[in-house]
Amino acid sequence: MKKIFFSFLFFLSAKVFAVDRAKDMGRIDMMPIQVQLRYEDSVEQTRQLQSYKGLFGVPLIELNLAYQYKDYRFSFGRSYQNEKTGNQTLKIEKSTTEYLLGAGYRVFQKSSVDEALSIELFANAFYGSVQAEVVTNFFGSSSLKSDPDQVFAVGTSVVGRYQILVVEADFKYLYSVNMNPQYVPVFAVRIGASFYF
Amino acid sequence: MLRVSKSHISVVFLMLILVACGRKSALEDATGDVPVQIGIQTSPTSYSLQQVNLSGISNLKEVSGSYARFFYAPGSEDNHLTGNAPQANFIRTNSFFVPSDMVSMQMATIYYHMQNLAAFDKVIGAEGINQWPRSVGLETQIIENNSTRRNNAFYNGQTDSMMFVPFTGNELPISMNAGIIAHEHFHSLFYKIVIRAAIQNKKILVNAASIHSDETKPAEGLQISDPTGLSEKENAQLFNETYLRGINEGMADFWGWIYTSDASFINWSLPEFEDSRTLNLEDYAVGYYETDANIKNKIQVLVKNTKDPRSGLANYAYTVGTPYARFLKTFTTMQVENKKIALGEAKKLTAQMIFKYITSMGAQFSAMKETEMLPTGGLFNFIAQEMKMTKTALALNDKDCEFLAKYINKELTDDKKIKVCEVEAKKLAEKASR
Repeated sequence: MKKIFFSFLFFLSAKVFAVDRAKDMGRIDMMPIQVQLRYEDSVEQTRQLQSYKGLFGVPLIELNLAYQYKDYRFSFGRSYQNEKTGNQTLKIEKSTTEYLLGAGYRVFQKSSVDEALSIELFANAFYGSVQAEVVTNFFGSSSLKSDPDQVFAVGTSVVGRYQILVVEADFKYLYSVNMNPQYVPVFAVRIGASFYF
Repeated sequence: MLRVSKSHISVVFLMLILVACGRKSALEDATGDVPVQIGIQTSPTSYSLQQVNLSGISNLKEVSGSYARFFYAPGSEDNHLTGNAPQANFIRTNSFFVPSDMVSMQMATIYYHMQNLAAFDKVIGAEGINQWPRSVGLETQIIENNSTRRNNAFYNGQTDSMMFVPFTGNELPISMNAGIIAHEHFHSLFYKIVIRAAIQNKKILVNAASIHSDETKPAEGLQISDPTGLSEKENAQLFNETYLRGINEGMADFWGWIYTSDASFINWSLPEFEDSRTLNLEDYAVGYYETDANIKNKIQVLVKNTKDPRSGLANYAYTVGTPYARFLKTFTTMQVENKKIALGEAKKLTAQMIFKYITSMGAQFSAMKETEMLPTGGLFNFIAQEMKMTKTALALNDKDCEFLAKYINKELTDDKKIKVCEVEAKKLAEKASR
């Protein structure tokens, strides 16, 4: 299934890329590969860099889309974290899922003459939602979801492109009332394919 | 027509952030009575997740309030714990909070038990003994024999705190074990009423509060002077230390049973101690306990054959203590069966008697001579006397009398046996006439 999906993605990207790149066309960036680090409280009672898990528990795979039109860039991203503590008798598993919508403005751009290679710098703002689920196994099982909370963020990202390849390095500061701590610095690198749309 | 510019968007977004930033987190908002879901013992044979109320919470992030305050891997200075409070994590559902990691679950559970034990202290008249909130150390790091102590809990008299060391087993973590928490809580009462008095009056040299404590060794300069020949005073000190440590552990186990109604509460966390620590008294063991002579003999053997008799005597604590725990548990359930009173009422009345007894022990130390030893049968005699005088449901009847006599008369020859009550007097008379 995954193979079919990525083959389709590659075909579509290549096809669209082959089209004459009109200046007024937007671009869609699909970036399924992601490494995300957050400096936040861990279950070991320390504040440390934590690497986020991927979609369906597959490391490095995550849902990230962006649409860019001229100086504007709109994004949608998902983040997922899962932490387990306890032993055979008492197991607590907390999963946090976050969805962020972003809007960015291009403040810097540099590209090669044929525009096959480019680098852009964006200032971004984000808004989204975060929800946690706790599964407790203790002589039985309980699964409870938190009330969803709003998430806000501001940050900056660098987007580099070569042909259909797109790489995004994103740094942002997240704020949510029930996060630990309430302000969390996030660094992410995403890799994917880009095509005109 | 309204034109939306970049600066408009930025201003709106910044305003949203500012509004959001002014909000307190759900944990900061949660004070007073806070509903949480924790794992507690719901019957002698089961633990499960339940929603309970934590009362008097002033800071849910640290689970601190009227009944407990926590320290993570604490140190100590003078007579108090030092270090940071662990940071708890909960998620909030519609109506209650759910701990989202192990440390938070431990904190909420211990807080809940401390709140219940404070209420029980009040019921038995011991509310003024402890200072609240109680200090609790989690993940306490204690190095012994070049490794870190694991799978244990103890009461530390010097800092007046309940300490939990890391739990590495696959059973119920000790910090979640209701019986063990009640056991350690009893040590705090016994320390303040008995041990402190004994140390002040130089009747013992070590803080024999518990064998789990790191206080089993006497202070510098207070070692046994000549192990081959103990002075009368040293002998009495060792005896009193051993007996106190034992009865402290026994009564603490009984406290664990009072709180949980589970005679094998230790088994949930430390199954290897199931047989030696169960509070179920087999028929053949009725009347058995470590007598004065047994303890004196043990001291002699250890002093003669070991370099560090105090360590050996510390390991002997449960041999001394468990028979008391079994006696007390059986005595309490007998009250339910013979006098048709509720188990809760019987527990309360017995606990009140124990509190009276340990208060009298504390007072005894001021009056005792340096060479005097506490009688190991003191508890049985005290209970018999109390039951004779009491106007409560615990008034002595024939069955109690037979049961108590087996302990009271254990060390005595027939002609010296005490007539605990009429039925016992009759029996002794019949025996004498034969």
